[in-house]
Amino acid sequence: MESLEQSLREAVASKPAEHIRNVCLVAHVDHGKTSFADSLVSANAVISSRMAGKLRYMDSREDEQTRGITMKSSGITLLCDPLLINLIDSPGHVDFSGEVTSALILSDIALLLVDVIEGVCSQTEALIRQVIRNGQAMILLINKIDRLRVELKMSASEAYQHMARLIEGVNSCISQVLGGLVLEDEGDIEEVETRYHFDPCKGNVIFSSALHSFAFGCEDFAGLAATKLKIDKGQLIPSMFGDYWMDSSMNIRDNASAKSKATIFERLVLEPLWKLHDLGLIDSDVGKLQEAASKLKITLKSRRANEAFDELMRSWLPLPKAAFRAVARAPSARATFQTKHRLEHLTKGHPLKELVLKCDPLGITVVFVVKLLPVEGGRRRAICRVLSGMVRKGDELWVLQQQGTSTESTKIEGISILRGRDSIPTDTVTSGMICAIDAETLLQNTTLSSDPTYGCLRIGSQTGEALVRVSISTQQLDDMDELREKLKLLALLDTSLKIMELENGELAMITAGEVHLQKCIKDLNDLGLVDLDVSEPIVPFMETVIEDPALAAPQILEQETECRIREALLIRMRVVPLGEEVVKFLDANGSLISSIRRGEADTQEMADFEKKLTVICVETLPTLKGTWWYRKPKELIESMIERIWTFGPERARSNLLFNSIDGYDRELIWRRTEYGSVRRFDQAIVGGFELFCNSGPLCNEQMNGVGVVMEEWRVDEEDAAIAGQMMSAMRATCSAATKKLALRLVAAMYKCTVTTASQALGKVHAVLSQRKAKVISEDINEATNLFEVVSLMPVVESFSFCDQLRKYTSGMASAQLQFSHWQVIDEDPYWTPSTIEEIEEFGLKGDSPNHARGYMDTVRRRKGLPTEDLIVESAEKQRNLKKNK
Amino acid sequence: MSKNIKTPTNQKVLTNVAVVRMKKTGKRFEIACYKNKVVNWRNRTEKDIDEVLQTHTVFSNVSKGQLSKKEELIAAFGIEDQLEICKIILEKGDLQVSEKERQAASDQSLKEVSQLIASMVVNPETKRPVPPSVIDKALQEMHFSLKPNRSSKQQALEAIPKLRESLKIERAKMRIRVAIPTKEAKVIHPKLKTLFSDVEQDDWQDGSLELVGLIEPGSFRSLDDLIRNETKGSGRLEILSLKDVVEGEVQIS
Repeated sequence: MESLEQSLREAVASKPAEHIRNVCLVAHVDHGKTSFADSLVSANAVISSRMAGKLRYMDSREDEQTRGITMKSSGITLLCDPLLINLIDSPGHVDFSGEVTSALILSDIALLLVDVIEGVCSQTEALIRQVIRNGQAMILLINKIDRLRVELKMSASEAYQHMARLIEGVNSCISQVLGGLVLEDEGDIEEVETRYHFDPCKGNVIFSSALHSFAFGCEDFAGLAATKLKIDKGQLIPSMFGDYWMDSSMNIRDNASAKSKATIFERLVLEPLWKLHDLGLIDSDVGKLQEAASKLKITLKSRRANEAFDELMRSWLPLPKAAFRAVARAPSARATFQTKHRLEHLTKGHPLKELVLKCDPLGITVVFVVKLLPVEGGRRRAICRVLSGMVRKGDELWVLQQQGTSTESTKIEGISILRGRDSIPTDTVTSGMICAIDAETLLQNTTLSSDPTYGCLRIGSQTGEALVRVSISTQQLDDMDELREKLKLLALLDTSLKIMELENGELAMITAGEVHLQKCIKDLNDLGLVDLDVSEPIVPFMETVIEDPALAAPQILEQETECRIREALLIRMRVVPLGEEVVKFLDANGSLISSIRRGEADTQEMADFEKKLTVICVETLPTLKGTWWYRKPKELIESMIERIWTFGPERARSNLLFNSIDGYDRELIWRRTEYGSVRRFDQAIVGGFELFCNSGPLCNEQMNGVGVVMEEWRVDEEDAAIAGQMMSAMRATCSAATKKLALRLVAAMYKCTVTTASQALGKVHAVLSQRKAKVISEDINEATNLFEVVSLMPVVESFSFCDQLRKYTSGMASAQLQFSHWQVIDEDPYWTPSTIEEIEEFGLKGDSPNHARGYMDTVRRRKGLPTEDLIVESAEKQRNLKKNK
Repeated sequence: MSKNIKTPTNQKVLTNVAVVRMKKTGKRFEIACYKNKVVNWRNRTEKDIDEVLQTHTVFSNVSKGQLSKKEELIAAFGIEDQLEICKIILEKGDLQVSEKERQAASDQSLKEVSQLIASMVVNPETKRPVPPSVIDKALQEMHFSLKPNRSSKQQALEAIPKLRESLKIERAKMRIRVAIPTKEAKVIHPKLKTLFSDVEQDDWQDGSLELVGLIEPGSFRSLDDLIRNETKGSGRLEILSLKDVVEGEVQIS
């Protein structure tokens, strides 16, 4: 052990970048990443090879082991001469996609695992997209191939067909992704496709079974067959996988399926393999197994058949060998940056690019900090990638700024080599490596360098939409400050977690999903905060107004609202919906709107934006039947856009305040400098509008897609008292005007993918409909006979959905939830049956519950707003005896 | 059997009845309602009269089952329609507050008190508002009990000093500006300063005074009186903000 540590230390300090490979394991949840990592780790004698695939060495957290899923990415440095491999295991669950992103930033090669039976899943697709975007090399690992024989009892030809289909599926997925990407930069799609497409003959596909710790590529068997059949290996390899067969005189012919011959892959690879599977795992015949082993010149020690099978496979087709061979072929830590996409995407023509390309151990040190690790004591530890130069213990490195010369420096107090659960302290690390450093000040996504003059690298890790929000407090009031500190620390370690202090002073955690939330709470408990009060998840809603086609023009005209305070103030306005297209456009340009509001926007960009907005508005608004816009002339709309008073505030940007007051030529937001002036108290009107946008009339949630058209505004500027009242008057008038239109709630929706066995399909639908999910598609995966049901589910309904699903289906179904979009709930929260027919159909109280109403009331109750709750629902059904009766 | 002797009965009558009474022209009028419903009717959350009234008749005594006489009704209400009279009695009569109604009311006012306190105090270190849930918990810890006959605001103000023993809170201060013309400025300046707990700006311009600072909300009235009396109306007092707090949502990570 000592000697291994020693040689590792030497290697990390001196290996040339050509021999360093940074590899990341990515896959859909439960496709076997961690088990696969186990086998690779066993190659370095950290764990026994007998336990490989069962121990899950990289899952060091207790809850990871008990739940059987990975929750964080963790690294290990493996030495297998002449290569030095930095392996990073990443979580597969959607909630932790932030961790996957950081794992991908660290590495150059992505090992994409796919469960041979389940095939391409939702996460697989997302991962392929991410990897290609990063310009990383990909190796496909078809995992769990033993299941084809043992569980599904497939014959060799069935199995071949299945795998060929699977690879086709992955390739078509890649083409799809590439199609979108290449369109963006107009490259040659066919050339890129051939580079990325998987083909076992090219050696970028590995067949494996992490559980039994064996793996092989085509050339393994080609080598065996070549010696046995005395054919040239080079000639055999290109036809190993594909529609080729071999005739009796050992000539390779094509069109195997048309002539119903067994393909070469079936004959040379699958048939012998299946035979061994039959012997070891189905018939459990040790004697024959030993016989077979002796043919391969392997002696087996195990007495039990399944153990003997494992031992045989392990020594015949060792998993690390196949994996490392494929990895060795992939670009090294230096060569990777020569790929076209790789660096451009990461740094966008940065001055540091030259240095990173050279990756010279003697050059200037550049270190990129990717992820912080929890550690005892005050120091900070982070996983980082050494992009250029060397890092030595005791070095003083500059924390690079966005622009200009850096003024802040930090001292590297320690360096360690990652070893999964533990780490080995060392002194020097060369360029191209991934290691952990300890220092005083470390922040995520920062660049450290020995030269302060450069600007930092802009490698952003985007995180998904955070939706699950809980307010958290301690039972003991004295611990609140401690909680705040611990939460800050936690948010630092975990980028997908956000901590907010709400308007009323409560602390809120915003997490990526339910599982992520549970992990965060577990982390807090580990940090010593045990008695926590965690509220029910708070789900954000938005409020909007929609068109009501039933309204006639005069009724719409009456939607105008007036507000008078004494003789001093008169506001006249109307509220209008903006329509789907316009809102979509505004949402897409959110950051530009923010910069317009701050007055920092680029003139050119702003002019473009104005032009596009005008076009969209002119096209869509006059077609909105049942709104004030309906059949309004083009000129009017153009001038309204020109005279936009302001956009909504930061959190509710997709709202507009139009200035349609005759005789008030306010300065234009598009061109500040041109004519017009700002009247006194203008700010109060804007302030009132912003207050209204931030808390709508339904349940004080943000407004979305609402336009306020100011038609008249008179104010007595001499009246001193009016200044204070104007803001709230404006807000109240907006609310009142909004109530005259059809108000709707907008809910966040999850895309929910359920994989289920066919006998549980009915139960799945029962649970889905209970959760008010709308099923979009239902497909059967022919290989597995598993159904895949895709549906849209409101986020509010999704809590403990996975648990419920598991319970109802006795574990036969599993679900993945991912944020999809915002959707208007097409149900009037204030609707009650009013006409006789409606009362007849729905009953006086509305027997079918009004969901929108329910959501609204829950939010109102949480916020302490009045609701129309009855103390007892029905008078006759009260229990009126004493309690003890 | 003598009519004075009653056989005990284990039957309890009128279990789900709440009586609303009204005295008018020296006569008693009662209506029979369901329990826990009258308050809801009064605050208009219950709209179905049949869910409130057991029967649309007016009694002179509900428990004895005696109906009111027609003449008496006309004398008292001027109308004959029993349902309309029932509605009047429901609105204006004295009612028995049922158990659940009392519970809801006390919950409501306890919430009101903690909301009020939360709106009045800040965390002195961060100048951030204190969440109502924390106040709730602290009130419970100090065994605060609600007195039903006093206003929520009074009780909130009384609770704040006691809460300060266990919580880090402070009354949120008002930020105000005072402008005093030349003549009175010198005289009034020291008196003003004692009322301010924090002076941010103390400008003397051509002998006139402008003060901006924070005061305890309680001393606003005395400050107002002081300025009005001493300057005979020429001094000006302006409220810059009612509460000196850092508002809005803040991301702390």
